[in-house]
Amino acid sequence: MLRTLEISASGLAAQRLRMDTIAGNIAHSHTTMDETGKKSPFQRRMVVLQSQSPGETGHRGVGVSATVETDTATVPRKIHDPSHPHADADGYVTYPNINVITEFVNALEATRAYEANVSTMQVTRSMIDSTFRLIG
Amino acid sequence: MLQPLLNSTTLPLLKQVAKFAERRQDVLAGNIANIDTPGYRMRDLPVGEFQDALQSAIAARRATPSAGLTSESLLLPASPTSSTELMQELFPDSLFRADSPREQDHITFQDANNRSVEHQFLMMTKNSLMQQFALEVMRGQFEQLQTVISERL
Repeated sequence: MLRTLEISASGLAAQRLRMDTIAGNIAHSHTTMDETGKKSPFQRRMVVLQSQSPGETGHRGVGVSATVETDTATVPRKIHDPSHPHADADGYVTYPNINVITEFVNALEATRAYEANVSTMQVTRSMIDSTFRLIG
Repeated sequence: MLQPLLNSTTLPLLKQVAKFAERRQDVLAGNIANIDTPGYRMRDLPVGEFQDALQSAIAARRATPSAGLTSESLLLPASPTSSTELMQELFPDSLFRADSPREQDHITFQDANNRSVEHQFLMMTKNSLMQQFALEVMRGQFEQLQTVISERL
């Protein structure tokens, strides 16, 4: 039963990581320079979810694991703004490949999934509680 | 010594119900944790088969009421294995395993995941109620035993 809580906790951790990544993406939606001062737009990060390897307990429930990866498939946005210090020869500034609307939708999804895991934990807890009441 | 006393009631069956509910909660929690995992298919335990097993176990118990308490069986040295073996036979381990994932009839999304949060929570609520029911009945029986042992109400 306590293992069930761990499964839900893996879901919570995964959704929290997603939320962190989304927050970072939104914060960097207009970053045109990297940490070394080089002119290079921020690359969108995304969380890749994978169900944990079942191992010897494969017949039971499985948790989820999450890794952060860089989105290289989406092309960066180019906006004509010759006055910008990072504008190229044609007057275009390369902004990160981040669409704030997409990020917000993903954030909503992550929030709901987080809540679903919390609700699951509450159900599990009530089950554990009633098991313990059998003793006392 | 208490073995025949405990095995003559519905306690062994209630134990199986509680065990099944806890295992199922494990699988359902895994489904919720993987609600956004691409390619994940919702899993479940064989609920129908378990109910059938429970039904036949109850029927078997009704058919042989003398298998439980007689004054001799209380005096004889208990054979704790017989009941455990019987339960093992009636409720094989395969009932508590989700290794052949039950395909659930839900829409498959573009990421090959057939998530349905509502359905999962419905099953989880039912499951939790079933577990609480089993435990409450169990508690009632323990209290009865307590009354018998202390010989006063």
